[in-house]
This record gives sequence, C-alpha cells and structure tokens, in this order.
Amino acid sequence: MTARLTAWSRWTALLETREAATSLALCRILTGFTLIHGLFRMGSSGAWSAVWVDAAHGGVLGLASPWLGWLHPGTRAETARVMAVAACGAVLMTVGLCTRLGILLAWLGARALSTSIVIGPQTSDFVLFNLLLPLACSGCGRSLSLDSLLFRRSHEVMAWPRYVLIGQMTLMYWASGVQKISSGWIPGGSLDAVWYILQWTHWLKRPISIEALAPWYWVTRLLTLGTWLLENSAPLLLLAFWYRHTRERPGRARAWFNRLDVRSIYVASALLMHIGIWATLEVGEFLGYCTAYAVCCYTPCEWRRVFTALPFKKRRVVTAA
Amino acid sequence: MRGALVLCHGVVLALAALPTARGTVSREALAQPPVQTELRLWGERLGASPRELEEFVLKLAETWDGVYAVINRPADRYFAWTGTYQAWAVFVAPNRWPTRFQIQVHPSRALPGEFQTVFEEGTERYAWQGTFFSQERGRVYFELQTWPRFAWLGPSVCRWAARKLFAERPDIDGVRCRSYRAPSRSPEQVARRETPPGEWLYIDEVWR
Repeated sequence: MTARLTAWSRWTALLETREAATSLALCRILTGFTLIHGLFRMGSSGAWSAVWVDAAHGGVLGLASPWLGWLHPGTRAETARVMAVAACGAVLMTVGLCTRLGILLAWLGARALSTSIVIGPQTSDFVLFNLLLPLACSGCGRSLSLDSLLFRRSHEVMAWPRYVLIGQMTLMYWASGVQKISSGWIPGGSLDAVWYILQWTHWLKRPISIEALAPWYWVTRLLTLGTWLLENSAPLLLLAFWYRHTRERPGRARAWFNRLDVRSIYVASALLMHIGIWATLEVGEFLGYCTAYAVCCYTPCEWRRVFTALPFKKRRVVTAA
Repeated sequence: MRGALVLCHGVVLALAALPTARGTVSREALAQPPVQTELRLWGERLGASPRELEEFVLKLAETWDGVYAVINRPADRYFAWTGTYQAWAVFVAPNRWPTRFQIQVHPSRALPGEFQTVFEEGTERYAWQGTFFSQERGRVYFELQTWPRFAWLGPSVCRWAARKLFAERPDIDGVRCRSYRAPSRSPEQVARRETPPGEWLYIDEVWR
C-alpha cells in the first residue's frame, strides 16, 4: 500500500513539474504550420472540392453524417467555411495569437473535415488530433508567440503536456511497428518490404526505375530492417527518458544510455526515416507532424542552448556590444 | 485529479494502440493475391500450408477483434470526439500485386472499344486531374477500391470522373476506368529482364 502511495505521489509530483514553454511552443508552431501546409495543398490542387465536398455538389463521394451539425462540409461554400475555420485556427496557433482558441478552431475544423469522409480519416489526421489535444491543454502560447508579447504572463508552464506528447510519440511508433507483420518486414525473412513498397505506384511521389534500383537492393533490405527495428524499439525511447530523469541513480545501463544519448539517436533515426519517406512517397503531412513530436523530446533549456548557439544570435550580440 | 486524468488518457490510448484487424479480415479479403502471397511466404517460413494459415488467421482475427472491441468500448465516445485514435496502420505489408489506375474517354465518333487514355497513375503523359490525384487523399481511392470491402469506391470514382469529363469535353460519350494489376518484380526478375504479365481489372464504364 505504501509503495503504491509512493508511486502515486511520484507520479503526481512529476505532473506538477514546471518548465519554460519553449519546447511546447516549437511543437505548436510546427503543428500549426503543417496544418496550414496541408490545407494549402488541398486548396491549391483543387483536391478539396473532390474529397470534402458532397457527391451531390461535385465531390467524389457522399459525405458521412455530421459530427457537428453547424460545422459540416457539404456544398462547396459549406466546405470552404469549414476549411476557413481550420486555416484560421492553424494561423492563430502558429503565430500564437489567442493560442488556445486557435488550437480549438484548428481541431474543430480539421475534425469536421476528417469525420466527413466516409472511408475514414487519413493516418496523418490521427497524428494531428493526437498532437492538438495535449497542446490545447498546455501553455504552449506562453513562448515564441504574439500572446507572450502582448500579455505579460509567466513563461513557465506545466511540463506534463510535453510528457504526454513524448508518451504518444512512443506509442505511435510502437503501434506502427507491431502491425508490420508481413514476412517482408520481420527479421529472418526476405527483408524486401521497402523494395516492394518502392514499386507500389499508388504511394510513389514520382516513378522509380526498378532497373536503376536493383543494384541497391541490399540498401532497401537494410532500410527495411532499420525501419522495423526503429519502430518496434520505441519503448527504448521511454526507457531513455526514465534514465535521464533518474540519472543520479547507479546502474551500467543507465550510465550507458545517458552517455550515448539514446534519446537523440532515436529521434535522429526517426527523422531520417521520415525524410526518406517524404522524398520517395506521398503519405500526407507525416514529416511535419512527426517533427512536431520530436521537438518535444528536448527540454526548454536544451532549446535555449540551441538558440544561443545560432549564428545570427551571436552576430546580434556582437553588434549590440 | 490531474494525475488520474493523464493516466486515464495514457491507458486508453495504449489499449487502443494494440494491433487490430478492425474487421478487415474476411475470407474474401484473404483471397486477394497480395494476401495469398503473404500467406504462402509465411507458410514457407512456418512450415504450414497457406490454407491452414488462412483458417488460423480468420479465427485469430475474429476472436481478437471481439476482445479488442470489448476492451476499448468504454473509450469509444472519447475517440469519436477527440479523434485521438491510435490503432491506425501504415504499410503493414508491401503490396506485391499493386494496381495502376487508368481513366479513358471514348470520343463520340470513335469506333466502339476505341478509348483514349486521359489519366494513368505514375505517368506524366496522362495527367488529367493530376494535381488532385497526386495528393494522398486522392490516391487512397485507387488503393482501397482493390479491396472487397471498398469495391464500391471504383464505380463512385468513375462516375465522378465521367461527370467532370462530360462537362469538359462535349466530343466524348463514354468514360472507362480500370486498374492494371501485375505482380511486382523481384530483384532476380529485374536481373533477368522479366516482366510478369498482368491483367486489367475493376473495369467501370459510364455512358452519356
């Protein structure tokens, strides 16, 4: 009973942690910007009128029953209105003006659009909603925002939304990994999943000559193994955070994890994987949203060190001196 | 209170992230060439026949999906509102039998069966509505319609294309949509310069 109480009080103490809002603010900016980018692509390509407009008004499919009666796409004008709500929210969120309201609008608009599709939302929509909920509960507007310039409020916020985002990122990679059950993915087999994915016309950004790729078959096998290992080893990321949190405790594994900075190795590998996917496949806004998750893996102090190391920052200091 | 809510959110998400087939496994779906190839490859690795594996997969999916639904039922409304569902899957398996979607038009004065291609996936030459079809949300129609559960998508996409094309081109009287399915090439086949034959499937026609 006492042990359970201790664990509970540790948990609640962890959730009481406060920190500067920088990491959450960066996550907010990346999420908002990515949503704007996604909406812009849909708008400029004309895809919006095919996907989010009802078949009776020129769309490809009939829309699903309304999630919110007053905010439902249907005709071109109604859909444009919902997109405007989402875009407005995304802009407010990115610049950090009335931030929480912005996040709420972005969520309302994007949710109304995604629930209207009868074949279901795209996977990148789920990543977006998973980002928006903790951000809406956070004080991510207290830094790198117009709100922070206009209102004099403490830059310190609760850290738990960042912890939640780290947990969700771990879960996202792990869930994606354990579902890769093809014999082409699982080690011990042919490891040819990436080779065959690069012949899958539906998802290729541009056609790839398979003859030109053939000499690099061994690379595609390494990429297959790397992707599978990366996603399935996602719980190691949580372990790395636990070891960082308890760095004063003894243990060889803990010392090794912290010396190598397993967290950074994992984050860098994941981003490399996303850049590779972005360069070859068309899978939506994954790169932006996953980068938004990745920035949460670093504390505000670490980001401050990065900002002070930026060359333009140094120049400004020199000029001022 | 905050501790309990955050813990609840984490647990609910973790439970929803457990793998699930979400009702996509059926005898019809398992009969598709990409799945049959997977079953054969797994059968070779496990020393079981594809038929035995198929029965096992059907039973496992049915049982586990039932358990999954019961575990996650209390959170259904939470996900319906927040959209924070986690059990989505990306590239569960590479499709070794990909299809290539094509849209053709029939000029009014042409002979029956003489169609002209206006769109073909993966080509720059035939790129009608190319900017839309290059988006992920456009491409998903081509992929999903090849699965029995979403077979209705093919005719819907074709009707939409026909409406647009008839409005744009008064000189045509028919639109045909179809997909070419051929097995992807293994590195050995590429080295031997072999191109396995395919076939045209999911053919839909709309006439004025």
